[in-house]
Amino acid sequence: MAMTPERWQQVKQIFQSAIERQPGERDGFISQACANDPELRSEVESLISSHNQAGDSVEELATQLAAQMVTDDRDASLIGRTFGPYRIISSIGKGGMGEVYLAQDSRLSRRVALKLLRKEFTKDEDRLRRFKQESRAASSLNHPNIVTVYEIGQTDLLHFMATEYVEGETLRQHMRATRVKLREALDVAIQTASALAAAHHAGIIHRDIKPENIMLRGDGYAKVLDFGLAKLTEQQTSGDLRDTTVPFVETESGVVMGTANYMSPEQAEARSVDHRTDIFSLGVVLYEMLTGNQPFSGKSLIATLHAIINEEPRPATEVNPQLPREVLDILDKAMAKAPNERYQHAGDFEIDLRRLKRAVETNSLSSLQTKLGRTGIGPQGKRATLLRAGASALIILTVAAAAWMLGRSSGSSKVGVSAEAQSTRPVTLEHVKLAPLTIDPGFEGEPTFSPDGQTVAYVSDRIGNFDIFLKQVSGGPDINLTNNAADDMQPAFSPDGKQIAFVSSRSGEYDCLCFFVYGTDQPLMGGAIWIMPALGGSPRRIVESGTFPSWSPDGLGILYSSGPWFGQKIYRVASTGGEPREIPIKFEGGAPYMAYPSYSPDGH
Amino acid sequence: MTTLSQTGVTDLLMHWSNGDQEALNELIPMVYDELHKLASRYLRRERPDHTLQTTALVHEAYLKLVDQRKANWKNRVQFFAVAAQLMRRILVDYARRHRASKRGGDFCKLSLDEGLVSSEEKDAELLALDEALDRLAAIDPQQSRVVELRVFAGLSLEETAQALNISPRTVRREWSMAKAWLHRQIKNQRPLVAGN
Repeated sequence: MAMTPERWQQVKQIFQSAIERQPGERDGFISQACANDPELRSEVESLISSHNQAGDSVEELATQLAAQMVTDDRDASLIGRTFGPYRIISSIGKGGMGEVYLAQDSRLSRRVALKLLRKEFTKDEDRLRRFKQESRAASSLNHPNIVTVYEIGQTDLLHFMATEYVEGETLRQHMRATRVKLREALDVAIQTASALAAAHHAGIIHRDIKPENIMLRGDGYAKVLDFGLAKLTEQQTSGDLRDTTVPFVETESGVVMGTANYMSPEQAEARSVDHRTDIFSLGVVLYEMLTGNQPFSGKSLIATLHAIINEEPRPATEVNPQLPREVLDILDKAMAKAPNERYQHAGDFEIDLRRLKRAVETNSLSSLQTKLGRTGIGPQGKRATLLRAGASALIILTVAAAAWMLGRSSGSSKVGVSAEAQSTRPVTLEHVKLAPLTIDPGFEGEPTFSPDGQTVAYVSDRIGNFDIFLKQVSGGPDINLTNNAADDMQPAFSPDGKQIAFVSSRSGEYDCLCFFVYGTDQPLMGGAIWIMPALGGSPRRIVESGTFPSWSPDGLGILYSSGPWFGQKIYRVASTGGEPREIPIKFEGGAPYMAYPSYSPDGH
Repeated sequence: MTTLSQTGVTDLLMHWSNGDQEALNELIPMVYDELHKLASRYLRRERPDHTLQTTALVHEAYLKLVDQRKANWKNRVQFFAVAAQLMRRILVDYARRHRASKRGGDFCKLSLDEGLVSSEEKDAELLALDEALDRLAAIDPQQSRVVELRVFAGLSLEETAQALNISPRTVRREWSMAKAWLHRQIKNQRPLVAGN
């Protein structure tokens, strides 16, 4: 019924008169009043019936909700209140230093995270002043991995800190929700180390690096919170613990209690600390990301402190056998008991992490090569291999270009497994002019020339996952051939240059082309093998699971490897698809790691 | 003892009653703030399972904010009119946030009893009430003011009558009609709002 104010008045008069009559008289009255207007009558009757049901429900609604609001701890206390220019919108969480809220800055109409600092932490003026200094200094670095502090202010009641609002979750929340993958763990550690390097360079120590203080934004950025804040809690726990800092952790129930799990030995012993304390703590965080376990945890605070000072953690690769051995070196060096034996600079830590990440991404881990037969290799050798793995994409492409200019085919620039393929004649680059093909940051690799030498296909992670790009040697923009969210790698041109075979995670069985499919029992490499037109177009899947596709010289077949780690077999499949056939290879003394199969030029 | 904020609120109320609309803009945040402080004090004193009366909250805020010696009856009524609007806004904000946080999967707050289900319904019902009141205000402003004072400031029929300068009988009639209409609106609305 369309309700105009006039119509409403009409309904109201009849309703109010009806309601004041005895229930027995109402029907008759309504029939009479609404004669010839059935719509009016049904509206009035509906309201009468609603009136009989309503009781006190409308009044009670507000009362009940108000009761709920005040018993709802988080919301009732401060929502809507203002601190300086900040009006609190909602609660974000509780930290050791106090509650954190999402708030609106009325001056700049931006959202901020507002941390209300507990009174007991802000009593010491000197400490407060130093905290303000440090956190402002860290913020002024404008580092992408350091949360910006807008203001530290105070009202008559409390001190507050307004910072950049990071939409995402803490590393702690993330670790609770999911198992962190190797590549992701390295990525978070790299970004945190980068933040620490910048802060340390400016003379600022964090002192409380832990998963609660690392925010992960949806777009992959990690941001370190609360530089200098630990200063406020120092010497809060005097007595048995000899004035050490006890960082805080938020438990499931929201109860705040002390934990020491991320403290360095020098913090645990209440000795003086320098920037290397942060390196130790980041090592602990990395260990936890990689294994799901904390390296030092006792049943009590004292037992934990004892473990930090005296015990070596269980090797990470023992807790999680799928980890590459290289992480051990890095963890050992980060979590060395003596600060002098640790990474001396967060920047060095970062570089090693980056190298390992690249090695993981390019399947060029030295532990793999060690198992290939180069046994007895020392830490120095391992490091050298890591260094090579970390060589920049720019150089890799340049060498590939040089190799092509020397008249070598694209296929032979890869290392074959046969003795024949290894006996390549020496290449001299003495008189060759080197020209960089790509200059993008991030990983770029697996370059391969088209047979006519006009284009290079290569892999880059510049859009956040691995995709295959095509580059004209003569210049021009790069073309992303596999613009999607899946990883696509290992491009191989068909001999006529019209098609590219590649490996992709797009069919969904594998979430990435990482060397280790972390969190599963299958350390399989790669995904399905696909073929697509070299100038773009719909790819088709020809093999469900395989790696390192390589074309036969006549273009009719594709060779690839597939199978569990160190149990791979070499297969051939027709380039039009169909049933793959194993190429039987016998090895004495167990199967070696097999990769990059390649046809000889005569196709036999 | 007369506090600074008491003087402020009382003066602002007087200015407002003399037609100064600016005074209302200053008044609103002060009352809002006071209501929140009171709410959190209730929380500390009486949690967890008490029932809070909005009436009690608003009346206490009034006593705290208004200098009784200066205030006349008219100020008191105005105060409640403002407080009712504010309480409505506070509760609507709360219901929205509360619903959003439930939808966002705040699992640690889930319990196995019926408490959560009914509290979600209450959120939806209050939001439906708020919307219905807006519609009511468009077609019958007086009736919507009666509802606001009765529901959100907890005024009695007589107090509401004095506040709106109408007879208690009119208030009773308006209230019974509004209650019936709102009840129907809320029940009709509910499956749409809370049913997902």
